[in-house]
Amino acid sequence: MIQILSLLPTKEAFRSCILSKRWQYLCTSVYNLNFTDADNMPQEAFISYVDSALARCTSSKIKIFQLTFGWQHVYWSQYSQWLAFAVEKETEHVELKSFGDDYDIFTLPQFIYTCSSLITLKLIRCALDKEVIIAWKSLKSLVLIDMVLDGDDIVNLLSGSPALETLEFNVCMGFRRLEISSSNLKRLNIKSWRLLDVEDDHSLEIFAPYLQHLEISGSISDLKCRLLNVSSLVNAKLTFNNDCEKDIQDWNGYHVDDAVDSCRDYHQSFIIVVQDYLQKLSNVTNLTIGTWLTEVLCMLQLEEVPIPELKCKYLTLKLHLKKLNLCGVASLLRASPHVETLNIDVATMSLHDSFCHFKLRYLAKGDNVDLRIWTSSFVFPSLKNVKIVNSLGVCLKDHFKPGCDKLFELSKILLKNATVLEKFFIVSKKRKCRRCSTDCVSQYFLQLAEKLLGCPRSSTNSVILFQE
Amino acid sequence: MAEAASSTIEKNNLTLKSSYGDEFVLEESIAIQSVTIKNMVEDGCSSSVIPLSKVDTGTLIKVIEYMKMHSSTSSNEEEIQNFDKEFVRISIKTILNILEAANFLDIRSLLDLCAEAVANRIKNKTPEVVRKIFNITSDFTPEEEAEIRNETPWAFEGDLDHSLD
Repeated sequence: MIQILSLLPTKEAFRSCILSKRWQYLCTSVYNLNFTDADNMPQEAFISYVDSALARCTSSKIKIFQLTFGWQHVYWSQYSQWLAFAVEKETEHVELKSFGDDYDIFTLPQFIYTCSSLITLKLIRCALDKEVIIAWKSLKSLVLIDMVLDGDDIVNLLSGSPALETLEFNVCMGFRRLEISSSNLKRLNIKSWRLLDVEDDHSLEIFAPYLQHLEISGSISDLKCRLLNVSSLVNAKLTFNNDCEKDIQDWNGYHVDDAVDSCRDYHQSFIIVVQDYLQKLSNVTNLTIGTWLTEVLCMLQLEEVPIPELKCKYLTLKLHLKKLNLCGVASLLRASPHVETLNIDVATMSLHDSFCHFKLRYLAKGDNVDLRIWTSSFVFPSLKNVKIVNSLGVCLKDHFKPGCDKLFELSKILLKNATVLEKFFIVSKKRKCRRCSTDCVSQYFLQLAEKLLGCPRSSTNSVILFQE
Repeated sequence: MAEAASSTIEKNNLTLKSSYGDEFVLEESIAIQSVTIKNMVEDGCSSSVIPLSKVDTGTLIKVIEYMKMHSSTSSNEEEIQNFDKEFVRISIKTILNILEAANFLDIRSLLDLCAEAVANRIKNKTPEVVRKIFNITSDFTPEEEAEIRNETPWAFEGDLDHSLD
């Protein structure tokens, strides 16, 4: 019974005391506590609610403790007391969310930095005390969301959590270097990046020789992320999106130089960064590449920068239909002769218009490359399975015609050049589109499958399959 | 020694008997997901029929269905997840029966699954409805009940669901 009550929101678990006399004190033994609905209650009522619930709690150990802080300073000492309770009860999983702007943020109290029972910790918009040395000896997973951290914080976090296996930064900022020397830490996840000042140097160096899984996704503005050492990587997902410096200047209200070439150096520097990625990721087995990287790959191709051979066996492309870049995709495929399984995940979110014509000019040039001639010079010797899937929320009703044509073009090339192809899947995840409420995607995918049936294939054993 | 060796090589079957007297034959490797049965096997008291006097036939069928799915090597994680989701799409009474059986048989993952399903069903319900679900009669006087509501007023705020399912 206590297990069931512990799975309920704490407020509801405590409601069970009214059921009968046998039940009256059962709820005081719940071992999961969540106080996260601060916004539904006036702050004062919330404080007295948490106070009285904690006072009633008799469980000797707490498993999960989730808390949302309000923004008023007057209650900060109260929050600290609640955290002291969680530490005292040897809580294993803690999630803390606070509100407030960057200059006025709740700093975690001292005793939490040495809480040895912690296994997972999720911090949202809190600050760390720089004076205290961290000692989270059992911590396995750390998720930091919307936090400003400097290099010292990172060193403190990493050296204080020797058992850490998974580390995630979500919309964080501040530090420039991430040096992971622990062989336990296998998984690093960077989702989006916050950048405040245009003037600063925006770079991040990752030194992690034992890391096995790396994911960088979301919008990372103009962050130049360098992989110094990721020699143990097995699984890499790079689906992030960089913006042109011109767009960032514009968003920040700065004057934007109209000359097309004014951002040439900026883009050139990313060409070098991406070339380095490919070098560092050449031994990865499982690789996922996003739209932005395929665009830079197209630039590399046009600049005739050599692309190192990639040894990956599973390749996933997360492509934006409007920005589908065949030149970049083809050059990536050519560089990956060991790929056995190729997944193409199609997305269609709406995009803002960019100021940058430099890149557009490049990409237009890429579109003019005669793919039929170029791709006839190479084959995909290991490719056995191809799967084209729409990710959720894809709507193909309007203005995706050029993208759809390109997808057809790409499929044709795959059929023609994959000599040992076995299966070509076309999967429409949802029948009805939520946005236009017709079956736009499945209709298009079905047409695509039908059209491909009549196209030349180099593998005689291949089948084209359509799934809904 | 010889005995121990033969029992590991052979595919042993166990017979489970429900409270109604119905018997079910099940591979030992599947049945020992239940820690209770595993202990019986290790103690050597599984040669004959294992009587489960606390588990009725309908419940036992569901428990066996669950154990078979979860020991199958051919199903992947996604299939198991879907199975679990469908598995608890039954009346709350049946879930409570399975939960009791899982508790008695000591099958951790099934217990967790049922506990979560029950928690989801009683979320946002009025105390009256929860009493009906668990078959509880309140032994509080109206005065006592009012007093409890006064002590933790925050627990009784908000819109609650009066429906039974």
